[in-house]
Amino acid sequence: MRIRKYDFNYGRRKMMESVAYGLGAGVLMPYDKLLAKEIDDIGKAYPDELLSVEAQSKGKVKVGDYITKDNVEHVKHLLDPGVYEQITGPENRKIYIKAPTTNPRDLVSAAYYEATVQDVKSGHAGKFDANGNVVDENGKKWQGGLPFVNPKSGQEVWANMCLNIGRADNACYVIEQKDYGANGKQEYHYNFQWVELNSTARTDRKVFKGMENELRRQSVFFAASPDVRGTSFLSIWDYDMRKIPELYGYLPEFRRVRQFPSNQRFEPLVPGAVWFLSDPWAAGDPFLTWGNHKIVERKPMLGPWASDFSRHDDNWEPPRQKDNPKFFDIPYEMSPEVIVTSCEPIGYPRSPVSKRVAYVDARNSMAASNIRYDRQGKLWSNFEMAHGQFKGGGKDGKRLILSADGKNPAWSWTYVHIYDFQNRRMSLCNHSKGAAGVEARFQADPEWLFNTYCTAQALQALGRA
Amino acid sequence: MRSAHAIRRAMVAGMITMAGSSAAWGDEGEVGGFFSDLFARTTFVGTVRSDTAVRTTGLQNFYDQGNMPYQHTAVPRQAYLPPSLGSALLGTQVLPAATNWNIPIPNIGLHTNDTVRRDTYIKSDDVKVNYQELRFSGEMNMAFTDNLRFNVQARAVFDPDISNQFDARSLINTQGGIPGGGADRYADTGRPNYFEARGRNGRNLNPTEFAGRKYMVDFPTALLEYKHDAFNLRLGIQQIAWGQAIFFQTFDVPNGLDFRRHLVLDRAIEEFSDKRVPALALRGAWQATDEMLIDSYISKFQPSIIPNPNTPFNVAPAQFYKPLDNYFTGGYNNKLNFGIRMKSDYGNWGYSAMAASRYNPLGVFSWSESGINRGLHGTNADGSTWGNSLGTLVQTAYAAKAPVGGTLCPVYNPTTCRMYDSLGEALSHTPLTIAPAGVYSNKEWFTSAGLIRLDAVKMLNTVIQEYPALRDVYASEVSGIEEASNLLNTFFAASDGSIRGTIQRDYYRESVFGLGGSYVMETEDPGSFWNQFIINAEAQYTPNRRLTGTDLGHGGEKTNEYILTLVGEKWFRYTESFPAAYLAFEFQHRSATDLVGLNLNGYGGLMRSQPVEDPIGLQGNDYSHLKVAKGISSADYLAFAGFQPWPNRKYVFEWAVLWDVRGGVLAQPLVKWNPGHNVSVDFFYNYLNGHLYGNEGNNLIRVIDWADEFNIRIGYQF
Repeated sequence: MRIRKYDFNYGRRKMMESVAYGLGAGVLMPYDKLLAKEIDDIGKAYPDELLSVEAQSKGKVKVGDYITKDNVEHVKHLLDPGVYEQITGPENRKIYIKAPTTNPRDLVSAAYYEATVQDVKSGHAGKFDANGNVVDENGKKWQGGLPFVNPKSGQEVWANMCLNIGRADNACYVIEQKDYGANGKQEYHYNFQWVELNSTARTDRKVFKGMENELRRQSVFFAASPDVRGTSFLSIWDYDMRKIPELYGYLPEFRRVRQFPSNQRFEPLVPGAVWFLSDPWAAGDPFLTWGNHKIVERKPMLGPWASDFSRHDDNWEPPRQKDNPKFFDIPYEMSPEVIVTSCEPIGYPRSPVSKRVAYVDARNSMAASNIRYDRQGKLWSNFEMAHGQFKGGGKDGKRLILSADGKNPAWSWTYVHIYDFQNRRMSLCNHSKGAAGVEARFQADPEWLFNTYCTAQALQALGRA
Repeated sequence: MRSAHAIRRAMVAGMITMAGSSAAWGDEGEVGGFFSDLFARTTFVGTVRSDTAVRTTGLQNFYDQGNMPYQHTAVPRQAYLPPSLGSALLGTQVLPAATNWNIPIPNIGLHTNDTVRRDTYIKSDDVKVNYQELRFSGEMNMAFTDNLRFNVQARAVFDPDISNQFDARSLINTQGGIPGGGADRYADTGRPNYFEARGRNGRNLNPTEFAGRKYMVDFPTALLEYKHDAFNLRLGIQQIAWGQAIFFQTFDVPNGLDFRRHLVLDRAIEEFSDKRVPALALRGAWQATDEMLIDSYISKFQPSIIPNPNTPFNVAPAQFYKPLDNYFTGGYNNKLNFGIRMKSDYGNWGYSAMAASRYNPLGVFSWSESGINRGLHGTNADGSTWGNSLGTLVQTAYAAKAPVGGTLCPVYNPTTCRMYDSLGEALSHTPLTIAPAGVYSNKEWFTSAGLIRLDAVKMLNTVIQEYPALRDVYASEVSGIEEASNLLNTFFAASDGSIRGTIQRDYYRESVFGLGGSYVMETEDPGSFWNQFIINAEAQYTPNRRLTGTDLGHGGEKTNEYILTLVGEKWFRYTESFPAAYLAFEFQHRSATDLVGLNLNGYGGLMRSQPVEDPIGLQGNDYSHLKVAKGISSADYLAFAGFQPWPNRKYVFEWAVLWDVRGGVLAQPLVKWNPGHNVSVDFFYNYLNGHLYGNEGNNLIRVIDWADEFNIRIGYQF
């Protein structure tokens, strides 16, 4: 361990100053400088105590321990209120603590990391135009990695999350979703394909098919359960974040593609689901349709900032907590700087949500936790998700799933807990290798993805014939 | 024929594979290689479901035996002297025309008047359960590659026949029973046939459907699909749905509809997903640009399927034989439909256009020769005889006429000449057959005609004009309701019971054109009701569309029809406590046909039993309340439908209201319960009222407003 140059609370004080003075990420050095120098050690930007759960818990909890209701009080200040409730309440959640991830390359996809580093080196950076949309220094639509590497305002954080939500220009996931009731019994089981295809804000800096007025096309295709099989929706996001996406859908009952109104974002898509269209990546809606974006605080926190793929099974499902199948048995780790940021659904009258609070890792602007509060200000649900590299595990322990470039490990989300605190229901999702005739495709050709999932004709073909 | 059987055998083999392949292929999956990969890319889905509908009022289907108009009403019948035997002898009008069908025959030694009640012959039904069906549906999707897949869906439906309705064999000793003959009468001579749909020659209308009286198995889909870049091709049995409007078919012209299985009274939001008639087709879709989709098809023509007589949701009076379908004998089974549609979306605006050349799947109904040789008296199966003195006299008189073309009758006249050897043979060349469970009185004739949008007088004159053999048996054209009544009751009285009719169905090609547009409204105030309100307009124009004539004449009527549909859709959140409700508003204006394709010129006729006001027992017929269709200039419908999910969507409240602005309403509230574990339960109620206001003959709902019922559907998917 490096000799401490700073007292225990130095990092926290520095981060409070960052909030007060509108400064960016990094304590010992600005985080963008670390990226510019391609330093593979986050410790150059943050003092050790911010990465040490032992230090933060005054020695009561250390790497390798499980956090349970017996020791959670020692780390309460490092947890979001949702997970604290899950541990101390009737769910009796238990969370393993692993060592922190210190290489910035491991915290994002290789392509996104490279694009961000290039941006920092070249001075290519985001700013807001008169309408609040992100443009580059020349006023052009954003292309590259993170537009705001050192986010200093709430809007910058939410823009970072929103522009390339999965940190992949072309993404094709299989989502395995199991919905549990309060009694801990599984009630619903779904498999669906989720496709994201950015037209702009791409790491390859090319406007996809010339669609410069769009941000992305996002489609979801339900392969199971049987009652929803063949249902698909295509959401077309305008680059203008003030606009609500267009929504097209194929419902097996109608046997044709129809346009649907899309201004309601707070409805479960399928029976039993706890999550809403608005929830994923804390960026299910264009960020300018929400308002009052604020940075509440910056602090070190425990969270699923980088998942451990080695413990996932052959179909990439994480293990379960042995005494409560509502929860995956996944690890948390320390992040030295988490931006706690909130916003309110000003563009959605009669929204049941009063505000959303996201816990965002300042190192990659990814939220590991996104908490909804109801109109009474009560905790409603937590969208907890982890990302990480798809390497490790398998029969020989050397499993490696490659990313789109065919060289680097794939990096993506691995699991999601969407827990409703008010009725103790859980939607448990994981990034699945495949099920019900659909399969994860990290190396899918974007043209194929576009033609297969992202057009009206594609929805028609996907739909139950 | 042989190839059709081969196709069926192949389909059955496929279905067996679907049912059993999961386990069988699972073992092979360990072997590896092509088949294990293929298995991994093959999915199976199955559903079992029970549908039950229980009636909640005293009303029952008035198109079926046992509940028909005048089932319990005594109606006087008086025979009149046919003009060819009185006022217009030898083909010459010898008395004033006003005397035609206006000279009653006294009942001196002859059975020339009586009163008749249908329930004397036909026992009344008391069916509590309108509908009970059990079904299995399965789907197998086999993805050979990312670009090529085979998809097959099978549907098996069983009706346990608990409604236990009319059995034609129960009348075997009445009027000689209901005879077959002249064509395949599969749906008329026994118990209700719930599923079979055959042509005149006995072949299945759908060559890939296997059906019996109580079951059917078919393949809504069996296709190969090939995708390449922005192109998509589907070849095989399939259904094609077009247009934004739901239920109001404006662009949705590629397929006919199957009205078996609960007519259109299933869960409304399912629209026609269980109703479209699958057809062998090649469909090609091309995403021409990011905004524009071009979709086209060429398909084998498959007609709409109407329910069989005496089945719970039959919509054609069962006094008539099941219409003889000329699908095969007319060569329509070799005809092709084709069409093309363009749809473009540019931000808030969308445009669409459509053109199709098709055979109208509803077809045109017209009188048809029965081919059944039966006279006015005979012997029942039990040895008893039937027929009355009037019938015997008529038959004798007919036999006494001279054959036309002979020396006694070189030039035909209906008074002294006959064209056939016997009256029975003459009738076999007409649509009319002497048999029980047909029409018993003039009042019944007028009411049944009104219920299927026909002109009771015109259809009588047309059958006489189109079938000369009727003149041969002393029929002649009539003028007005009274003459028509007198002619009809003369024939009915002579029949010693009732007369059944035979009609046929033919199909005609039409060119259908459509234009549509859509607009997504956006307002400054996101809380405005109109924000994200989607408006769709679709218009259809069909020149020279052939409709069933109100006279049942061959070839029907030609008309230019236009249909305009407006749709408004909106997600609307009333409260923070519940998710947004989905609201859909629709309006449709139709210039020539109603929502199910029937001729508006046939609207306005008599729709229900009316009191018999003339004293019974005197010589004379009762003409009170009788009227003929006057027609209506257009039909206009409004619909309001939507659903309100509960939080977590475990329950969804759905509703659909169809309002015919001329005075009818169909309302369907529904609760869908998704308890999980792949089980779903639907509870819904169908409320129909066809006499809210105005002339009840002028609205669509009246013809099915007996069907108030509570429904429960329980399904399990696996």
